[in-house]
Parts: sequence; structure tokens; C-alpha cells
Amino acid sequence: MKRYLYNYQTIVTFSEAVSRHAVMLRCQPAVNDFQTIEQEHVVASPDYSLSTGTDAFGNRILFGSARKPQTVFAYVSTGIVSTETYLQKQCGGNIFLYRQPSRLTGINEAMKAAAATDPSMTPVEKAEELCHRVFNMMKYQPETTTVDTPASEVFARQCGVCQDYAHLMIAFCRANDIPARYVNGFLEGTGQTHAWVEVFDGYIWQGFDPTHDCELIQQGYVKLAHGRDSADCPVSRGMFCGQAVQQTQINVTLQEL
Amino acid sequence: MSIKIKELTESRNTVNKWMERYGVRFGVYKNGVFNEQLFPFDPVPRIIWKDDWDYLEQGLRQRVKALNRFLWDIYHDKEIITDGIVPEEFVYSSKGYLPECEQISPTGGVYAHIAGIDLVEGKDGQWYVLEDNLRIPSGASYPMIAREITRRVSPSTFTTHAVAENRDYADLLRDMMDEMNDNRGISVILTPGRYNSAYFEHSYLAEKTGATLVYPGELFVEDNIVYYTGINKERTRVGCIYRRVSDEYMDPMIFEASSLLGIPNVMQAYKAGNVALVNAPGNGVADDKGIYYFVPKMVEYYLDEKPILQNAPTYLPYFKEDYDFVLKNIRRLVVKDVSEAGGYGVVFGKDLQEDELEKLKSLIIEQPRRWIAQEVIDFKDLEILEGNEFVERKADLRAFVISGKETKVWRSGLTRFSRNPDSFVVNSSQGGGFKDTWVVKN
Repeated sequence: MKRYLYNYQTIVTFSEAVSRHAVMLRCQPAVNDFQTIEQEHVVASPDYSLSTGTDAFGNRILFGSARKPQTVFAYVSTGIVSTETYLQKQCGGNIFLYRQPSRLTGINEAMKAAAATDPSMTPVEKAEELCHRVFNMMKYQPETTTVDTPASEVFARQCGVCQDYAHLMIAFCRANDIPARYVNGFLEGTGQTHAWVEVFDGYIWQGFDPTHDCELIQQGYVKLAHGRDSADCPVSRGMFCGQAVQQTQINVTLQEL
Repeated sequence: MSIKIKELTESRNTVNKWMERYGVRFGVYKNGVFNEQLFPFDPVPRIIWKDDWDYLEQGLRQRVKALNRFLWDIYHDKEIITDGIVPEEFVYSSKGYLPECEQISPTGGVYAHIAGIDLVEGKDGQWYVLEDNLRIPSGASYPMIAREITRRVSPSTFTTHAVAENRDYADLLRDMMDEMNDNRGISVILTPGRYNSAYFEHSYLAEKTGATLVYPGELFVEDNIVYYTGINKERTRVGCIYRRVSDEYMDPMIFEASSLLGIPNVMQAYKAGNVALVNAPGNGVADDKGIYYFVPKMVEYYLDEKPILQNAPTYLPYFKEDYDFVLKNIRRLVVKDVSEAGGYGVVFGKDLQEDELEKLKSLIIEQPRRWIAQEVIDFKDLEILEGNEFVERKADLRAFVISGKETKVWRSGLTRFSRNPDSFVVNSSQGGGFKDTWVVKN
């Protein structure tokens, strides 16, 4: 078992007051087979009414809106989480969703060819192979892609950030009929959120981090949320009325205790 | 018994002129330009005798009940999948299936509050269901206003014939909205705005039901409650939203993020039971072309009854038996791409060249799940007045079924006809026209 102190902080500033600012946040660690929350706190700007709930994929969400016009929205999510070996049993739920291409993980003929694996391998062996393949194919290059870049474009350019690595590996897995999903979370020593992949072997979900060529994640990853691709589980999403320009400052720390 | 139509045909121009004045139009986008067109009205009504109607009514009620049960099941326990009636890939790979609707229980268990069921009458006198429209079926306002105007222009027609009243559609709609609202607040009709193709209908139904016509930006969620803010900036709680905005634009927080038509976090308020959405989001999974095949099976499965209305004979290449049949008889069938909406991806085997036919076959072999094939139904022509002459044209019927606490069928419907003598396409955007539909006592 490992214990971590996490701290996720965001400050959104608007160039002028905006009205009806609505938000949806997935900033709290998931509660699952390998993660237990020992303590947690979320503090957000006053004048926002926030409620708790779960989304379509079983993630914890905080959602709500500002009661009056705002020029800043700030929140902190902090606490202590303890983790065991990264394994997640599947109970109920719908695996089918993670088996077919989603908006950001569409596949084309060239990708199918690049994703071909030896049919005698098990799903986990295939995923290991694909994780490795994505790592070797890609070059880590920030600011070459955006949050909306689909896997096919990532494949053509062969560069990007953790989100792009994850999308490409997911597309490859699904091309092999292996259910795979996108995960958002914290990784020690990065200072920002990280994205990786979970693969279903028929019984359990296991973690793979193609950005770091890490097959079968054991420890050190704190999971926030998952979805078919990144669009399903952003840490925060907001909408407002007004013409303001928005600036976002994010600060993440994860420290082993 | 016959219907005297002389007075009606003479009144045609007057009625059409009145409709023009009332702004009975629909909008069409062509090459990115928005144009409004009049919807040509044919004065000769489609007559359905009461006995035939009673049969249709029973069948429609049964079908819509089963579809509502199916939607509940799909978003809850999925028994119809576990029991092997509908294969899971037909459900989950449907574009209309929304995981965001899982485990949400709409008021009264109703999903398809307003169902538009498209039927045709075959030359054999049998009725066939061609399509179920369970998302935002439109068109009821046209026969409503046509009747209203015709009654004024030619009142005696309605004293000599026992035509079932159709101006009660607004009552059916209002009662249903009241039941769904459950005194939580006001009922509203949410329109995307005047550039929507059915804007006339939105404003007309609002006027007739007494619901408030609201525009994007006038609704917002606070403390998980939906409010309407009117011109005076006061806030009023909303209990029921008859929304004419499609699912993917309803809530930018979980669906299409760039949507300006939606209401941020409305899905959370809906999930919490603080507002009713009419129709429920996620209904697209039940009116999918692939799911259509299973509707008669749903009737047997959920209601334990024999289906009263029949589908057009349909084959799913997904099943081995149908696969062989389709490849062998493709020339006489109409093949539809399940993933395409509207009139797109529909191919008549008889229209194809040899090489095109082979190509279609290879597509079916490659992805059998993606296609359905149907027998071409030779449907009955209806008489329409073209100039001063009666001609025969293809026509269909959209029947409207309203489900609140009970399921009721509106005793009228939208009869659309094709103006082109060789066409089977009755879609209004293709220049077709419409007729009033009369249910008449024998």
C-alpha cells in the first residue's frame, strides 16, 4: 500500500464579468478496488452552488453554477488517498461502450494495419505489445495537438502529449476487439494531470501508460475518472454568457507520504 | 357513403392564401442558405373510416406502449438483451443510444411522449408501419391549422360529414405536459429559434397549448432546478420542457460542448427528477433502422400480445437466414444503411447496375450488421388536385400518439404526398405537399 497527499488547484480568470457560469468538475480521486480516500476536501469560490453526482461512466462529479456575475472561479481539491496494486474488477456496467470507436478514437485502414497483432496472444499480451508500439512510434511534443485532436491525426503526425498517446493506444486496442478506456489522473512528479489507458482482459481492468512505455501499472498513479475518450471525462468543463477571454492556471501536486 | 368535395376543391386557393397569411411554412437549408417555403395544401382530405381507424388506433397504442417499455428496459435492467430477443450490438452501437441516460427514470416511466408513426396503406388494403419517430416528430400543426381554416372557409362541409375533431391535439399535448410537470413549475416549449425548419409549429403549439415559447438562453439551472427568465428578468421555475432541440445539443456540459442551444446542467436536473424533458433524451435507440425490425417482437415480449400492426417485411443480414435471402433477392429489395438518417443511404436494388449491385453485396458481406433490407411496398395512390385535374400520387400517413399517464392516439394525422408522379419520396423538403386526414363515422 502507498499513501499520497494530492492537491489539485485551478484558478480561472475572466477578462470581464461573466454571467451564469456553469461548471462540471471531475477533480476528486475515484473510489474503487485499488484506491481508498482517507480524507478529502473541495473548496470552491463562494457564490457557486455545487452539487455532487455521478456521470454516465460512473465517475464522481461536482456540478453547478454561479449565482451572480463573476470575474474569477477558483477551486482546490485536496486530500489523502491510499492505493493498492492497480487492478479494477468489472461489476455490471457496459463493456460494449469501450469496444467500439468513439469520436476521438476513430480508426482507418492504415491504423488497422499498424495495430495488427499475433492472434495467438492473449488480450493482455496484445495490449503490452500495442503500448510498446505506440511509445516507439510517437515523439513527445507539447503544443503540436489540441484537446480535440483525434487518434487518426495523431497517428499521421506521430507526435503529441499523453492524451494523444492514450487515444492512439485505445484505437489500436479496439481494432483488436479489446475493450479499452481513457483515464485521467495524477502521476507523481509531473506537476500536471496525466492520461493513461485501462484495458479489459475479460475479468479485470489493468492500467497501461503508453507515454512512459509502462505496461501493467502497479503503483504511483492516482485515478480521477475514465471514459470512452478524453471528451467523456475532462477534469473541468465550463460555460458562461459573455464575451470575456478566459485564462486558466492549474497546479497539481502528488506526494507520497 | 361518399364525401362531397366540390366545395373543398373550390376553396383551395382561399385556404392556401389564409395559410400563407398565418405563416404556415417550413424552412429549408440549401447550399447553406436558409429559405422558407410554403407547404402546399391539397384540399381533398384523406378519408379513414372509423372502423379502419379503430384498428389503427389499437395497433398504434400497442406499438408505442411497447416502445416505451423497451426504452425503460434498455436504460435500466436490459432484460430484452439478456433474454436474447435483441442482440446487444444493435442497441449499443446505435447512434441514438446515450450512456448518459443510463439509470435515469423519467416521470411516469414515459420516454416517447410524442410519437410520430409513419404508415402506408398498401394496394392490398393492409397498413404497414415504415418508421417510428420517437425523438422530435414534427408535423401535427399542419393538419391542425388546415382544419381550422377549412372549417371557416367551408363550414357546411363539417355539418354534413361526421368528421372527428382534430383541434384537440393541443388538449392532448397540454394534458400530457401537465401530467409530466406534476406542478413543479411552468411548462415551456423550447425552440432553437426562427431559423429552425419547424419554427412555425413551435410557435403555433405554444399558442394553442398555453405553454411559454422559450428561446436558447432563457432557461438556466441553479441549485439543480431549471428556471425561465423572461423579458422582465424575473425567474420562474420550469417543471416541463417540451424541447424541440435534439439530444446532442441539449446540455453542453455532457453532450456537444459547442452547443449554444442547450441548457448547461439540465441533464443533472432531469436525472434528479426536478424537471421533465419531453421527449426524453436517448429515444434514438428505439427508432433506429436496425431496431425497427424488433418492434413486433417487443410487443410480444413486453405486453404478451400479438402485434396488431405489421412492419414492412424486413430482413437483417446479421441473421444467417436473412443474409442468404438478401444476397439472393437483392434486386427486388430496398437496402438501407442503418447508420444513416433520413432519406440517406437508401438504395433500391432494381435501380442498380450490375457492378453497383456487386459492390453493395460486398459491403453487406463485409459488415452485415450495418444493413437492413426490405420488400418494396406498392402503396396506394391518393387523389390530389393538380391544377384543375385530379391525379394520383404516392402518400404516407404520420399518426401522432401522445403518452402521459395514458397512451392516446390523435384522431387525425399528417398525410404527405409526393408531387412527382414517379417518386415514392413524400418528404416535405423535396417539394411534397400535405392533406388533412379525416376520421369519418361510417
